[in-house]
Amino acid sequence: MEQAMQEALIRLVTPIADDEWIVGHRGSEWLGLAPELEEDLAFSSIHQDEMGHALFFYELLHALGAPDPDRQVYARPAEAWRNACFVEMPNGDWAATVVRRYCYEVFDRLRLDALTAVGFPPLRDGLKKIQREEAYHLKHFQLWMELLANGGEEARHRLDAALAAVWPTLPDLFGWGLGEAETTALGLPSARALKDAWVREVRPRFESWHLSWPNDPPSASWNGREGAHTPHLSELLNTMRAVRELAPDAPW
Amino acid sequence: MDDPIRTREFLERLERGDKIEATDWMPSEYRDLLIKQIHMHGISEIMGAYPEKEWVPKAPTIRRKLALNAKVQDEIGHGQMLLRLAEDLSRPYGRGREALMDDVIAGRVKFHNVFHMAAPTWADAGVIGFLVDGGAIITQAMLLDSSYAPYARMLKRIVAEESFHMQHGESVVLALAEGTEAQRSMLQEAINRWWEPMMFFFGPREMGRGSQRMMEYKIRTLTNEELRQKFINRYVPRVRALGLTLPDPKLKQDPATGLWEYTDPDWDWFNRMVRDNSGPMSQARIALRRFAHEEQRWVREAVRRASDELARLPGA
Repeated sequence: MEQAMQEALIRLVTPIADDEWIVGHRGSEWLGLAPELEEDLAFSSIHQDEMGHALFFYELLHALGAPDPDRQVYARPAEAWRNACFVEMPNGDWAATVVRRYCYEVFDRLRLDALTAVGFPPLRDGLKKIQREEAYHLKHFQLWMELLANGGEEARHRLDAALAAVWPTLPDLFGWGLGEAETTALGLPSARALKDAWVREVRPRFESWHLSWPNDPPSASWNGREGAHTPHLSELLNTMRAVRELAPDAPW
Repeated sequence: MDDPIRTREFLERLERGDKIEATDWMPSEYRDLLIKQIHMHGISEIMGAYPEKEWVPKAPTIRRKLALNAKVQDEIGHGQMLLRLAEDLSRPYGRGREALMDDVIAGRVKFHNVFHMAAPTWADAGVIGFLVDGGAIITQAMLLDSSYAPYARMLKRIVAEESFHMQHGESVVLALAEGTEAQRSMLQEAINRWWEPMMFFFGPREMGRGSQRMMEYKIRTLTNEELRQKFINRYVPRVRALGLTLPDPKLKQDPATGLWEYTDPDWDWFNRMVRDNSGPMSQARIALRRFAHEEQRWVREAVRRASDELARLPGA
């Protein structure tokens, strides 16, 4: 493979791997704390899937010349992460968690669909299984949105508050972390087009749930795709590395 | 008062080795003993998720994180399955999931002493799998032959999963044992912390009235002391093979009987901890369950309301 192509693929896959890992990590924070035991199990399975997807992408990156998956996760400084700041935000209450996860799942499906256009067979092979699992994740959080929207006054109130808190953090989710020319060369839709597709999917759902549309997502003031993160990411990484740092090069 | 003739027939069934199903008639004492046992077992699985849960975000490799996350999820799953059984048995008393969980917050149901203890290092996360799950396999294997068939069936799956957990714990422990000086001493300290709680785990040498009745009803089949001896016999060589020591100078096996001598755990201290939730981490762990159960109650109510609402829609 040409070096330019290899580098483009690394830049393409890194934000996806990082999104999935951070989503999985944040999800694991609910372990043992979900509103019902049955949901605890489902929620945990979903987030183990996400970490599994991240591992697939990190291995792909490793095959393309990046460090091994554990080094990517445990040895990269915050500014080298390319996840959206959107996914690094603390969970908040159940309503905020549901809103954030629903927004992410819709985007993730659009992104995965777009990725099938990239002519790199190892990526395409992995996508099939991932897409199958993500279809369930989307359904799960769609159902939760519907339940909370129809769940009476308190749920409604919390859902509105969650939307108000989560919405302004949306903008950097939609980026690929690539230049325009590179995006086109890989056969991918622009970030703008992804965002429009997302609005076309989410807006009618909001109408059916009688949720008022909080305006189209604002534009970015920070950008995780360029390594500009909130302090929440460093905090998360410090927690994640607390044990490993006791003996960074020893087997664990 | 139960019909004495039916009670006698019931006991004869147990004598013949018959298994009891949820829909069979049973004396109320049998039902109550089962509820007490299964409720406590289920809640212990759930409370047992917390000491390890805190290490999931900090797990030192991707594989360890996935494995530990899956293990903790399994424990919650065991709790869920066991509570379903306890809910079935509690139906005549009109008590469901909410009530059984309220009991945790109100201190009306006990959970295993080991889950009242602190797990201050990553090594504790491994040692819990290695020793606690290893101990749980020994007690649960005895319950596989329980006279209450639904419990025995469920335990089949649980024991199979616990044996994965034990292997997971053993693998964490092995890595630390082969690691740096700091890793090894972290491991030795964790072993030192968990040995005495594990001696208490199997219960007093002289079993209480409830445990004796459970033997008579064949809900359980071995005494506390028999279980503890099995555990010591299995783990002393394993721990020593790792080049580690056990914090009990009295540990010695009688070559003639094969029985182990050991220092008694501080029975009073542990008994009080389990009864009053006064252990080092009892209140912190109950606070986590309170967060899930009470602070998220609005979510369960929303689901109930929404389900009613959506069922009323045309086409539903």
